Amino acid sequence: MGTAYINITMELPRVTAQPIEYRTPADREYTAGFVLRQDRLGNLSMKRAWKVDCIAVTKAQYDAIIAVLDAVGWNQVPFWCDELGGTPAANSITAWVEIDADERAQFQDVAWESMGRNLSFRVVEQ
Amino acid sequence: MSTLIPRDRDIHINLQVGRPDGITWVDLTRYLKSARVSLGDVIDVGTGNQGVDGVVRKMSFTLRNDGPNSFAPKDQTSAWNLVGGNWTPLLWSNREVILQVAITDPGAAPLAGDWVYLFHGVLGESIRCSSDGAEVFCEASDLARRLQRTWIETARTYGTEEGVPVETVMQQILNDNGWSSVVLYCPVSPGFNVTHYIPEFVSVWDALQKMASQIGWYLGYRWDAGTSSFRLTLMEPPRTKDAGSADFMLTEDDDYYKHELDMSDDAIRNAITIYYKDAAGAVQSVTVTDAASIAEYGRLPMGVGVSDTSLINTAEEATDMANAALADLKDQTSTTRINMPLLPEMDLFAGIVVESPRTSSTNDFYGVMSVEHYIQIDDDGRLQARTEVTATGKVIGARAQWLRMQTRPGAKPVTDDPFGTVAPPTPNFVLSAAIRGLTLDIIA
Repeated sequence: MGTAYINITMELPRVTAQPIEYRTPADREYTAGFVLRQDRLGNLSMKRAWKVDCIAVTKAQYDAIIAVLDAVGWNQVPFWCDELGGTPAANSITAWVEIDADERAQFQDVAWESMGRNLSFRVVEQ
Repeated sequence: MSTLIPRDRDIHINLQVGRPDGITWVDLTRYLKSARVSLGDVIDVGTGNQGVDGVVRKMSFTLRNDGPNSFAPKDQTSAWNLVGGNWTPLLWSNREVILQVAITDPGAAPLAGDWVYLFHGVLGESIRCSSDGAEVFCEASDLARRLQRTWIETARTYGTEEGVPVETVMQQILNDNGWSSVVLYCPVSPGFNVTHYIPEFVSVWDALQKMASQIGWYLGYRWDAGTSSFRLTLMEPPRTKDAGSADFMLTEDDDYYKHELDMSDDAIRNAITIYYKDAAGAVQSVTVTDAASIAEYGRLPMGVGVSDTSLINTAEEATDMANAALADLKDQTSTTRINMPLLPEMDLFAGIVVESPRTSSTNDFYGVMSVEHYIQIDDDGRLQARTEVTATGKVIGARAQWLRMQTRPGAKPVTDDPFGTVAPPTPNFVLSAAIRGLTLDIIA
């Protein structure tokens, strides 16, 4: 369905779903007189967060993804998905990438994959 | 009096930490997760022997680490900790730190004049790295920390027989201990003269605070709009401020989220006696009372012994001190806590009028005795930018500080005579030397 990369060159395989959230860094609350008011963080623009689901990830692909995230200490990495336009090298944004769900799955790829995975990533724009 | 807080605002933040060269500043705003600035607490003034640390502003803040470039001071490979290729930790003892905010209309960029300092101080009290390496937590104190950490190593005598103004003595103590760069700001002289003062075995800060507390004045770093800086300020708390001269009017529609009210008569004292030594060294006393308070709550006396009045040697000075204590203690305290949108201008001793139909049928006046500003940006991007105010029914200079001075058995004698005011017992025995020992004769 979609295409997504982390760290410029590491493709997240077989992306099946990619819902997006928009987050305004704002303090929005009702006053004692029940009037809604808002303070927005002026230095920051709207932030996006994606949920990226990948199915039928081979063990080799899975290990490579984990290795990339391990290498940066699970901190921010460049992230690109096709809706950002351009290329991963030129148009990646910085984001935190976490694995929300990690489910073992068996499927037929080039060969029978007995240690495959279905993965769900949570990507939050810095 | 200030008007309402707008219902829709943009808040801009600026967090900077200084390099040791004193001129290079590093912008850490984008890594800020939370910051909390506490502006003193005159109701519970401080810790330690002098009980004055509470007038020092504190800031704690948490930074999200910058990926492999950690803010952890001992990471000698992080770009943040390298200057010219040499390991120079950014977060380290005595590094200056500044937090500013600017509030604008939605979408507007802040102008230079919009920025307000919430804090200017130095790091060092605590720099803590989380075990997962994701965050670094820091605690900083305002510029008073440098005076707190300067020990008076040489005892000097201050004052003369004729008396030297207390603000002059304070500046002399700063100058004599390496802090001539700190110029005491005293807009109005207290008119109090020091005749004899030898600070010893204390910090510069404690020596200064001892003088301030004996005249019931405030000494601490306060923002001065004229010089656009925090200045060491000696001032009389504006105890006469009232609804007519209040600084802020808060309404429930726009200006606060929560408002709680708590009343207590525990701290009332309405007959204050100050014991002091006159020029001849004799113990004298002065008592002031408040008839209205006594009629309302009964007579609740308090004495202050000579150990807390060592700079006082005239009835006039003792009366001034007694009146300051009486003004702060004679009324029942109605303490309110207000949680409101970030209001950077809120400061100690501000007067506020609160319209709160749920807790009072009238618009009530309060004097601010502690302020906490906090900004928090959680991992999901949610923001909290608030000011929390603790205030009491009028502006007070101190409360716990006065109560700590109260004479009581075993801790705060009226005089500094080791036997207090009680004459030592007449010996009823005779001890005399005898061969190979002593002879004790008990007198019947």
